[in-house]
Amino acid sequence: MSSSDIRTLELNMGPQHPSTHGVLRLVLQLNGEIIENTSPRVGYLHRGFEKMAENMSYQQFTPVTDRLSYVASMNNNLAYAIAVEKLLGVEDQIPERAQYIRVMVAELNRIASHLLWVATHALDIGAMTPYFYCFREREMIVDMFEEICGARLLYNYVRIGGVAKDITPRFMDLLKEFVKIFPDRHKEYNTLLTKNRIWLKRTKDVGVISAEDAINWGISGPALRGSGMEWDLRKKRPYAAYSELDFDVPNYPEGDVYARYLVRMDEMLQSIRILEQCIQKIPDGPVMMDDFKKITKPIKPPAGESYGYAENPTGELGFFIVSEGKNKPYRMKIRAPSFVHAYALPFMIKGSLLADVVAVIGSLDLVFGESDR
Amino acid sequence: MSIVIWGLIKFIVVLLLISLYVLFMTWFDRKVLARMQNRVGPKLIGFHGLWQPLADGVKSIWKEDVMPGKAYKFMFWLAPVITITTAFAISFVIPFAPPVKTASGVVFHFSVVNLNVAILFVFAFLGLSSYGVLYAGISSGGSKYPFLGAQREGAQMISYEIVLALSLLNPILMSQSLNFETIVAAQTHHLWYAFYQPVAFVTYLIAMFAVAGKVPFDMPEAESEICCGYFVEYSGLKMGLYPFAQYVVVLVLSAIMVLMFLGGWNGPFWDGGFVAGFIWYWIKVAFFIFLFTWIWGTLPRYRYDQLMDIGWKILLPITVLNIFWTGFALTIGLPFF
Repeated sequence: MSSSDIRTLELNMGPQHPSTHGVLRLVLQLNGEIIENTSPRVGYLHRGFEKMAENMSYQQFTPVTDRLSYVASMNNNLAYAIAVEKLLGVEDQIPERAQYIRVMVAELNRIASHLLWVATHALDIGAMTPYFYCFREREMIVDMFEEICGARLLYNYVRIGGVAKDITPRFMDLLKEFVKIFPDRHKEYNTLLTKNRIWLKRTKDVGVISAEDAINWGISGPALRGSGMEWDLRKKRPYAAYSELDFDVPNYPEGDVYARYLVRMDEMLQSIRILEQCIQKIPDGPVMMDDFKKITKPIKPPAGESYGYAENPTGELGFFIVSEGKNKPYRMKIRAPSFVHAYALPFMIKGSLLADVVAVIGSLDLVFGESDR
Repeated sequence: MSIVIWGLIKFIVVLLLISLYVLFMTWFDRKVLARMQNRVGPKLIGFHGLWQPLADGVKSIWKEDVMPGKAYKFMFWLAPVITITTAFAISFVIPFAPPVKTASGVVFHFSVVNLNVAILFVFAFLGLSSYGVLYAGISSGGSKYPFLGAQREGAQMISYEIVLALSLLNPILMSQSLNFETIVAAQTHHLWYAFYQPVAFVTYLIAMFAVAGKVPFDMPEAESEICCGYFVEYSGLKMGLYPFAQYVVVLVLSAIMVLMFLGGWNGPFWDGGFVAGFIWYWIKVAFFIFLFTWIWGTLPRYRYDQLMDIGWKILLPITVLNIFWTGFALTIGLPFF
């Protein structure tokens, strides 16, 4: 048989595939089960957020940011609020209490997002049970958010100039209880997965990317730290109240799926550390700048540009806003980590097996609300 | 003539009992998994959802039966039939209770046929059962996920049935028989074969999961990779037959495990008599059936190439060496052998 007789099998994975986490479509060229080539097709969830921003006032756009990475709405709100505050030049005037609340909700949402990620990642690799354990704790976090803002998924809580409402005593009680019990629950996931022989076989040396390649592809967040880069915006470019808090940046040099898994697992415990400090340190005072209390009062930032960013559970989420001095942005560019990661995917899975594709997709924590915008 | 009539009666009874068992198992699986996962499981229909399987069965019967336009119709229809037929065929040689000597001196066997080559029969039909999956994959009208699933099933069945057969060869060598009741009788007066053959016991245990296609070796139907694999294009009752056959295979493999390695109806104490034997036998079988569910709720899935590595590079050499050891021990007549 000559080489021209060998054909590859073209396999459409997605957009309705159980492991593509929403609507990623991968066109795989398979040689047996080995991936020869991949081309990701994104855009099935495109809702035109960047264009919508040009026709909405600054406050109106906050709920839209919820819909980016819908499992980490608080972090999205925070990144957007920071971007607009920078544009207005008021980032130093945010009340101290609001900064602490922002850190608390962002870290809680980071844990919630990571829990959902562990759950679905394990489900992709075939372990069904961790899913339900993770949802047990995620439910506690969602209950807390319901207590402070009434919503369970899309919060619209972190606003320009502060946060929407002050936190309640019941929220603090729930938070204290959560912080107390979470480390034990974290051990349960470790028991099921971290030292599991099959889990190690499925995740070690799979989807390897070196630190250099990771930087070149623009990978950020836990995926970059899984390649051994100690890069965390909370530490390197502190925003909100992170500069006053003590925490480590977990990173592992292997660059494989397992390293990214360990990074996220460790990050959850670091988030608990941050929350413990917040409970101790949170000051009293207002939670919103007086200028922004009225949501109907138009915000007219001076003409100029700003880039606001936050370390999201998925990676670095950035908002680049160009203002012409009107109450609407002239242009808004959203830097979505999932979009960047989705395009690094073919590089990471080339030559591996079909089963590794789902493991790598899972390890990158792709959220298509964010990627497709 | 009476053999034929008795055979037919037994045939119908076993068919009905196994169908009931499968219905019960779908409920049991869901309930046990729910218990492991902080859930409630089926609850609304009947006592603790005990009638849920019936409701599911009725649903799958009345569901629209969709067939891909390009499907090769005869093969597409034949595939689930082969799967279910072979699964039932294997179950017909399995004894479901210890044999009873009637007053007239005739021994009554609680299996549809008490074959003297029952184990060969089992392997023949286990081999055939993979055709059901292969046909399903090929006939699904060029659909690629079933194709990949069938490919995986073919490779998996070939590599693991060898391990399964070679593991069972050790008890066969020791008992000099291919009949289940004789093998159980050989274990009656001394230790069970699992104690003589711990290696074969473990390799059979691993191969059992692979042959049944259950977690951690459920590659042919890996839901998160190839979306249920070979039966993606099936719907309604035809789709229901695949899990149905799988439950039957689980029962059969568990029963063979107990018969070959764990002394069948012999118990560690309270021995002798039909009732005691019956209870011991089913306690042991039920444990292995439960083990399938337990592992399902605990472990992730191996990768396809890792499965092949385990089969060909680890299990096969071990089982072959173990057969040499057994032969050696039997030849020189080691004590206990």
